[in-house]
Amino acid sequence: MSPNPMLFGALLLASLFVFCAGCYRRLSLISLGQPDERFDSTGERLRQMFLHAFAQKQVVGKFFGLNHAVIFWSFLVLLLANGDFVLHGLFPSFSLALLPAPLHHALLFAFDLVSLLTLAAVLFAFARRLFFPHPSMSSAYVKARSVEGLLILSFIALLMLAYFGLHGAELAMGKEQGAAYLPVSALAAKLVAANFPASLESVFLFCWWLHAAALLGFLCLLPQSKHMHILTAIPNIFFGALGKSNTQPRERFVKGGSYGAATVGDFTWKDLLDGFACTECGRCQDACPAACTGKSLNPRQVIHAIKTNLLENGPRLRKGMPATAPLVGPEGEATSTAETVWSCTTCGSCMSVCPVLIEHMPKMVKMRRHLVQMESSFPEELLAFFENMEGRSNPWGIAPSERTKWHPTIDVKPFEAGKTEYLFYVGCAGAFDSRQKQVSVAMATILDAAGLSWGTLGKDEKCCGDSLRRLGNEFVFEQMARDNVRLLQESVVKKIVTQCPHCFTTLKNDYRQYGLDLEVIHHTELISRLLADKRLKLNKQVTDLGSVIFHDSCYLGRHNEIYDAPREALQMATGKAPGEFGRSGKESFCCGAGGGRMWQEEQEGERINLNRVKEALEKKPDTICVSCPYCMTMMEDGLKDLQAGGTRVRDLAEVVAEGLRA
Amino acid sequence: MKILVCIKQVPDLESRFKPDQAGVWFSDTDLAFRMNEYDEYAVEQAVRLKEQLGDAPELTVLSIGPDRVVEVIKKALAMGCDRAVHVQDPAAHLKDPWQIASIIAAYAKDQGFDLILTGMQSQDRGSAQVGVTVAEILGVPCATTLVGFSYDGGTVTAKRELEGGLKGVVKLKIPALVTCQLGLNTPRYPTLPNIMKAKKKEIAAVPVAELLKSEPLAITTSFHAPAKKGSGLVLEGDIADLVTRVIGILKEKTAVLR
Repeated sequence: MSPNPMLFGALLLASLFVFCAGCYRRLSLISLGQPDERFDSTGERLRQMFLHAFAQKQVVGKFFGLNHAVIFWSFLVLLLANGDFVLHGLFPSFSLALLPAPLHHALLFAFDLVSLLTLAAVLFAFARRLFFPHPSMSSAYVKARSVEGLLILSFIALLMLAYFGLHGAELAMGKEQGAAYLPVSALAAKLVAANFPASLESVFLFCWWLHAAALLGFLCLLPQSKHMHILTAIPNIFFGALGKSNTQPRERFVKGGSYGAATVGDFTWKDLLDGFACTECGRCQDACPAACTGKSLNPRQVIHAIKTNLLENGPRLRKGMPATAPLVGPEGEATSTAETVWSCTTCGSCMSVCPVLIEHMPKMVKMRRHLVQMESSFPEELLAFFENMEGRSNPWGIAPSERTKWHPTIDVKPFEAGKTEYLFYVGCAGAFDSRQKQVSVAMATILDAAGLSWGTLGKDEKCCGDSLRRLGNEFVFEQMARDNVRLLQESVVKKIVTQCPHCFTTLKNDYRQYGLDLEVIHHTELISRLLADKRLKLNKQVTDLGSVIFHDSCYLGRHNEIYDAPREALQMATGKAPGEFGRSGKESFCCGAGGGRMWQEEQEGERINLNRVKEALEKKPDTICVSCPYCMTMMEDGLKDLQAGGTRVRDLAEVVAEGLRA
Repeated sequence: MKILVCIKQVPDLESRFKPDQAGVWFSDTDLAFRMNEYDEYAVEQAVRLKEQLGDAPELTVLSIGPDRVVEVIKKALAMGCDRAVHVQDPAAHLKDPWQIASIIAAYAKDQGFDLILTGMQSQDRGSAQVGVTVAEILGVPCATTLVGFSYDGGTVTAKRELEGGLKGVVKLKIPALVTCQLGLNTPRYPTLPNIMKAKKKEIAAVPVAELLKSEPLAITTSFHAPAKKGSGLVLEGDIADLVTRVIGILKEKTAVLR
């Protein structure tokens, strides 16, 4: 039955106009973005889309995500139901009943069932927002109990209720034959027949128009709200970074150019699409070490600010007028503050939990690039850091000639092209930091014990430039990267082992952009492999270190997905599996030193390393095992600050080397 | 207004120094070079003055030395100097402060500079004589060890660091010369566009022979590390054991425990 095709048609047209105008107004702004090649590897992208959009892989990673998955899958089915509703409303002769009966009945049953599921899920969502909202559901500008969020839920609930109402009334009037296939609607029919026996027709009309109003209202509201993600999430996942977004794109240094993101138009179109795909779910906020320790950085707000900035400035930028709201400046809905931009540890937890594959980290770095390269505006501590890197190629500004000072305790041979198998890339911490030098010695002991052919570049080794790149000093990083790549290529290096996940990721992932493609291996992987292959035989099982808990380094774990190797090595060395933090593996919490945070003061909020060390102490470990020099420093400092003298920090190499003692 | 900033390239002081073959200065081998720290304050202050005066002054940077000093000249240009003079002298390290000052004065005397800024001293030789000697030769007023600087209508107001934490304020009419000390300012980190622009700025090369007409007044005769007198003692091992050993040493070699 279709009450008034003409009226409905007019309303539909009007709604479609509002919908399309809203979509155009927003989505056309994406074209302001810079080019980004995201049209390659279609097969891989389709796979990613299927996995993360249709299979909701990331969404169901959290318990309540199941509720979303139910709504999502139901929506796919209800798309058909509502398509039928609209077509039938316009052309009364159109009906699904024209389909073969079994198919028609199956569809009716599916519609009825998923409508009930959706109603239940929406009620759960309602209750969650109203009565037990998780803190991460609210950010500075979007609250859990926002009118928008509740309105959208109400529209969906109304749509479902109206669906049952109109089908119930139809059944009660005997105008719908499939009662057996519409169990929920049949229940509604009984209710309608019992309560409104005389006005079934009116009930039907009321419900039909209510259904139409909810549907069209939803359509109008959609592009204006975070529910835009219904349209943008799937393409955003399709265009999402393939593999890990663990590095940043290169910058083109042309004369007279502008570097980094000064305005929203300096982002790529994909960066801008990310803004419209954000669902405001708050998972990044819940995972971010800065947001969790009371700093002004909230990755969700950064994305929200980019979107708001685009909506505000986009139309002006398109006309060639200057932007009004700055990208980085005083606190505002369309602006991230400098504190925000400098708080990021680039740990990647935001990206790893994002259900729609938003890439936060490259955007942070692009904003930093602008601040450093165009404005020369950065926390004052970084001035010395940058100058140390430029002048002495290490963060501390120690004389490069001291790079081999850890050698005297052990026999270190220079790397010889064609003769030496592994280049041991010691790294700045391993060469200069007094604590990490002990790890270098442990590594050398292990390499010797396993009988590997290895050598170092000695005083010729330079810093890899990891912190420079994450801090946005791309110009200096590029020079260092080029020099290092040339040095490694001229030295005919084929295999590199590093003890620092930052050297590891930079040599492996970042230098690939500069044409370096060789086997880079982190020491945890190498040690694990040597132990498993019995090439490294321990003299004893390591028991002196007591209970060992393993802390995942962000750049080893999340950014390069090495979770098992260090755990297996610990198992083989100590005879039992290491203990785990409350947040471990993919959910590991940053030590606070990545992304160049190591070289800055931490003045806002709780110290990230204390948060992490407290988490460790809950498990009462004797030893915290790390695999990164930054984590080493942060954990040791945290233990000192908390005066937890009973717990020590050891690098994995030290734990294993302990087993080599006679 | 014309401003001159004199800068020197010095070795990274974190380096390990070895005497050169003649044994009169350090060897360049394995050394990394940078701008003398005090000269960075001079460049920064000159650039700030230029900004204060609405870009009106012309800012010249001068450095004496071998080809490698072009690196620090480029940094000064990237920080905001307009043009540069490189006095080419592969043997600058053998010249005494009097000769260096004479070279600078010989260059500056006909140029009509209203203000000359130098570092208080160089980090390597540390004579602290060049700036004041240039002022003396040119016959212009001079204030040293500046920790504060302001300029208004032809007068420089300079805050100087004196002994024991005292400060003094002096006023100088231009033309004048000032030497800059730590605490005057924080030198800027050049922006990338300015680094790129600096590549196009003029660096005039002047052979030192054209400017140097005077003989040295002092000659460095020897450069060497201090002779070793005794050595430190590093104790290692168990703490309880260490304590006993320290007490033993104190009793044996000092009077404190007797």
